[in-house]
Amino acid sequence: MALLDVSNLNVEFPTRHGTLHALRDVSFTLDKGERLGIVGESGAGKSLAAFAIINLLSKPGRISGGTITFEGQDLTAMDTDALRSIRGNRISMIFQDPMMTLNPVLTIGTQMVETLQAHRRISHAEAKRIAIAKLREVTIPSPEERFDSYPHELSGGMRQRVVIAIALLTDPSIIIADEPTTALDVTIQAEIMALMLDLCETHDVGLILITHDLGVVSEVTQRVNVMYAGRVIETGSTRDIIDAPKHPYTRGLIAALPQQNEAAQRLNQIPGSMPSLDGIPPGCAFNPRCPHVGERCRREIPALRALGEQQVACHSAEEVAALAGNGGSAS
Amino acid sequence: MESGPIDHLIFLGKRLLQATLVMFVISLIGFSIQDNLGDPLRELLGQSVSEAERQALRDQMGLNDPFLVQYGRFLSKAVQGDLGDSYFFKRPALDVIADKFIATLELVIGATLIIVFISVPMGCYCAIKPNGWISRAVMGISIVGISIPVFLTAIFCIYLFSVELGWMPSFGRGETTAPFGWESGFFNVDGLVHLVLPSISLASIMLPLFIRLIRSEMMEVLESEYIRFAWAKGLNKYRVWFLHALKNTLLPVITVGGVQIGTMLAYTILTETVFQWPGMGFLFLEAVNRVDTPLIIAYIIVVGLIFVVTNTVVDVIYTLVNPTVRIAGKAS
Repeated sequence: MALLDVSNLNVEFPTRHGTLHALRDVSFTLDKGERLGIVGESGAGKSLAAFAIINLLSKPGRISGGTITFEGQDLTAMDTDALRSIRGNRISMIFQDPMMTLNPVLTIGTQMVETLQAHRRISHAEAKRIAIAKLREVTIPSPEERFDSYPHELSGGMRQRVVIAIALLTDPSIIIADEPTTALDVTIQAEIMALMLDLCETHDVGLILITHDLGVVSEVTQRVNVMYAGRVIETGSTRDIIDAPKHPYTRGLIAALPQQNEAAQRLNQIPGSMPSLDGIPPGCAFNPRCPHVGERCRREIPALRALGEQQVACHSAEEVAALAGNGGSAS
Repeated sequence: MESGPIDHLIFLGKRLLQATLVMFVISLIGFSIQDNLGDPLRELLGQSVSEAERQALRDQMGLNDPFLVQYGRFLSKAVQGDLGDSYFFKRPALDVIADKFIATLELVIGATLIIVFISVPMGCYCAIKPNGWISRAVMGISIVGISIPVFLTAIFCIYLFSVELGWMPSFGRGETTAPFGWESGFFNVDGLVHLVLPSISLASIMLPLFIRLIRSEMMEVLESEYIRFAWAKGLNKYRVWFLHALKNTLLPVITVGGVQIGTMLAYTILTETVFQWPGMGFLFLEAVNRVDTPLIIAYIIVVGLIFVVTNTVVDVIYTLVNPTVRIAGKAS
């Protein structure tokens, strides 16, 4: 049985102009120590899917259907206190912008110790010892001094290390990282990503990495979910999807990556932009931008179906798979 | 990166310099209005004194000297703590004000306590449950509260609690005792009972403002990423609300609060008049009626000084509470 099993998750936002369906029938699993990437453009619902797991949706968003089974318990059926004992304890989060994540008026130490004390009966001295050990583990220089620092005394990269240290404090079984390197300098990004990968491997922690960067996904994750307009449209092993994408959208994303061996070429881009939640076209949400669009695509929403090693939600997936050439996994 | 004690001293030095400058300007303005308040000799001497005698007294009092000479004399005395003698009381103006100062201070402290202990919990509640009926009611009433002038609240309080219900005294300061060397109503029941209605009236104008300020600041803070991260860490809700959110909420409120304590002094004139409260404000109104120029100027300078001192103290407190300001102060 998987450590985490998200099944047919639906999230909606009731608004004055009707209900917006932000997530529709999102399903995925995560095994112990496994690293899963969730990719897509901004607004595809990838962060929502992550926040929904520990029910931290911003108001008025709510889970309107589906189950989230973690270690055998359904998180959607849990009361606030039970869920709180899982948040930050069994499932930790790393946010996008380390400049905004830490409370500016509390010391690093306070923000670490309180996390431990929220989940364990532990003395301040013992909590401090663990906190400093974690700071050392994320390679923060002179952690004893940094323990008493305020966030603004640290650089962005250092702050993200602190956030990672906080996420690791309680030895969680899953870390959800929401674009953890997007807000950082390019030179720091690789460092932080390598650190996260290393820590996840040493502690055997499962990672859900939310990103729009397929490059990062291919380096870090074992499996990947591609999301578009609130649905998972392609899922499978990272290798298979990068080598032989079967959804035209995934194919477009990969084609849009800069190629290192072809100098000074214009980057490919997918024409158009993702529809907003209140303007999703009938049929396949991607159809107005799709080069393989057919009559059926405008009428019928494609279901996720197995094709080779991966699953894909596209009526023309076979056609796309054939285009991929060496993507011989199309059976 | 760390800001040391030297930076604090530099910061403090700058603030004190600014404060001195402001006091200088206040004294100049205060002093220059004296010629526009009518002839003090008429009040002093009455009608029956001859013009020659008047001129002699004028010369003797230095009222015929050029403005700058008069001001210089005033300033050199002022820094020694002498703001001239009250024409009416025939005593140093500062002493007269000092006698009334405690009464006004009691009123300001009473009102401040009411504001702090009501606005903080109410503001927080309205931010945490913005759509509850209690929050809606508080917000509605606070709009009304802001729009009603102090003297009207005061008169209404007297009508309801003193005249109709008879629970509270309608005027005066009540009994005072002096356990620490100064006469105060804080240390006996009668004095405290007399303090209730004037404090409520004085607080009434600021209270809605602070509830709304705290509510809007806290709502903004509750939307921030660090609060979301605090929830994600699995902290208990009271810790998130009353440590993580409240501490960030109160930083801007402290700044506004410092300014408003000064403004509250201005409103004591109204409150003290309605309740016949023997404080500085009441004294000032009497001084205006009597054209007691030295007393008027002394009052303006004392109130200005209180204003400047509270603002400076608030600035210093702010740097102590807010870790990020220490760096900003250093950078400037």
